Amino acid sequence: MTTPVPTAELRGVDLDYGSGPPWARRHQRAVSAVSLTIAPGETVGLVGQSGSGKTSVGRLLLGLARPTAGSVLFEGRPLGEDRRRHRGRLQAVLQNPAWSLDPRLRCGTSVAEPLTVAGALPADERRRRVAHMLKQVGLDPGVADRFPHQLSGGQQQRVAIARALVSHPSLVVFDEAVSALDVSVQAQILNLIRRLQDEVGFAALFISHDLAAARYVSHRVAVMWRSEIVEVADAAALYHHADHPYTRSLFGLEPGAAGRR
Amino acid sequence: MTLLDVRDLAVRYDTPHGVSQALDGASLTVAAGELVAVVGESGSGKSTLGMAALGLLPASAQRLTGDLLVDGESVFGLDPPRLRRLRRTRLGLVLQDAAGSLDPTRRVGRQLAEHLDRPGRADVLSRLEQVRLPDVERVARSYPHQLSGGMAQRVAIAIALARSPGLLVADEPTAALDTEIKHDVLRLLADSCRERGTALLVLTHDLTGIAAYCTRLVVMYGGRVVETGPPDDVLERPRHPYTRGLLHAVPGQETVGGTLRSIAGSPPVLTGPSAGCAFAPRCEFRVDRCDARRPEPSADAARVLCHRDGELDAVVTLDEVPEVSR
Repeated sequence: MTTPVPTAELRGVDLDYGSGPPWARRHQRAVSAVSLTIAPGETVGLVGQSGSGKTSVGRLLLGLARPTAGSVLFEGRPLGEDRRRHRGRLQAVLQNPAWSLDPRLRCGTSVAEPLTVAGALPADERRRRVAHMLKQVGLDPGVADRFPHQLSGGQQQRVAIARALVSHPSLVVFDEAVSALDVSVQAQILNLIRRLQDEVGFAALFISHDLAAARYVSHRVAVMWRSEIVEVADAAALYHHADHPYTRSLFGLEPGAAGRR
Repeated sequence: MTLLDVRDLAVRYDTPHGVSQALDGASLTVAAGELVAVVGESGSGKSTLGMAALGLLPASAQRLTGDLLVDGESVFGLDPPRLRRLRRTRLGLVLQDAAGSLDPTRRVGRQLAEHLDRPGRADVLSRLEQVRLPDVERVARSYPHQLSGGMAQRVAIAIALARSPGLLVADEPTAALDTEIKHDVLRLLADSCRERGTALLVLTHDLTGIAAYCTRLVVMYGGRVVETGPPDDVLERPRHPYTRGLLHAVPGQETVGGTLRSIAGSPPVLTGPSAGCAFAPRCEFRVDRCDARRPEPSADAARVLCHRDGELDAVVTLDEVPEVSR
């Protein structure tokens, strides 16, 4: 899956976080010399331990963090020059749907918000798009009139996904989007992500500590270890072997994932 | 010898926000020294069961029917001093958030010493060594926030096992930990309990992850135990439709390009005793009697809670059923 212009690209990116007072500033390297491309319509999985820098890579791609060195490109152009241009084009789905849904807004309002912010759409067209999107994530359009607390965790995550996709983004970052869900519901959401990508065709970064889940939804999987990407492999290849010892250890220590094939 | 005996226990929470039925006739026995994993999703009642075993149910919890015996005595019948004595001498608890269960203002060595019969420095250090902590001198001097999640969990385990309790309840002990550390901690829990002859009750949502460390799996759904058995039996030959569905829904066992078969719908929130089988609305094998009558456990050791137990294998195996529409 190669195209001349990748949807998102990291070129030799470093990211440092500073802490402490100005006279005793300490820097912690969160991302080190990371290069990664995501082609249109491709899902790249990003797995690693907590603290390995996965979420920082997601923040860089979304333009929420500026790289210390290297460059972040979005659709071939440096991200951050004119970020208003990207409104609605970059979206995120987070671990806990409560973080992206305002408890005081009806779900329909929350889902419509990316469209409202982008402007230029009449209200009835917005409502139509919201209803269509809710149907696409497998919810009854009547959910638009409910509040988040009236829905189950899985339904809330579906609403959060609808909110992320309603503005037809070209890149969606899923940051541990299924980790907080019950096992039986997790599979529903993983299947939903796969199906929506086939239907809608966005590029995605799927951040997870669960290699098996990442492998399932992704075309390629990148493995992060101590702020570096140590291996990038086709998801299909990961069903047979993995090269880096750390990748193997992610599997080897998971009797549920690899032992029971 | 039976250490923990839960008999048809039903517990309801009465809160200002409404009523919820957490346990709906759960039955379970645990023998001394047994390593048991209670597997269930949120709302399955596993935490309520674990807390009931420790006599730690909040005031809003109401026991409707049934009983829970530890060492042959009902924890519901004990007066507070005797309940405290039982907890002190016979029971231990490890929580998901280890750092949160330790006192943030005191060094962990002192916190551990509190629980020891001979609270000497040497004993504290040897207890920390037993839970496979490196550099025990430093750990003993540390405050909880100076420890990683995995180290804090090991300290919590050392404290819970300090008096070699008869039963250790671990509520999602590894949910907050990384994959690699997770398995070290589970192995530590299992090994430590085995050495002391302590029975272990691990409450978890991770069916396949826990299997290697326990001698028995107990699957809960809708406030009842729906299936139990040795891990190999439950994983290789699951009998309850919920257990089957759960095993198919875990990523990692699909083939290349294959699809995970999810269970339609979401776990129930019970507000009263369920009239029929709690899993019926999501079950692909549902027949009329599933809604009408509560299933009784099968007569054998697996105690499968399904009207169609025994019929299903003859009818169809799950692999041949087409994907349930989402």
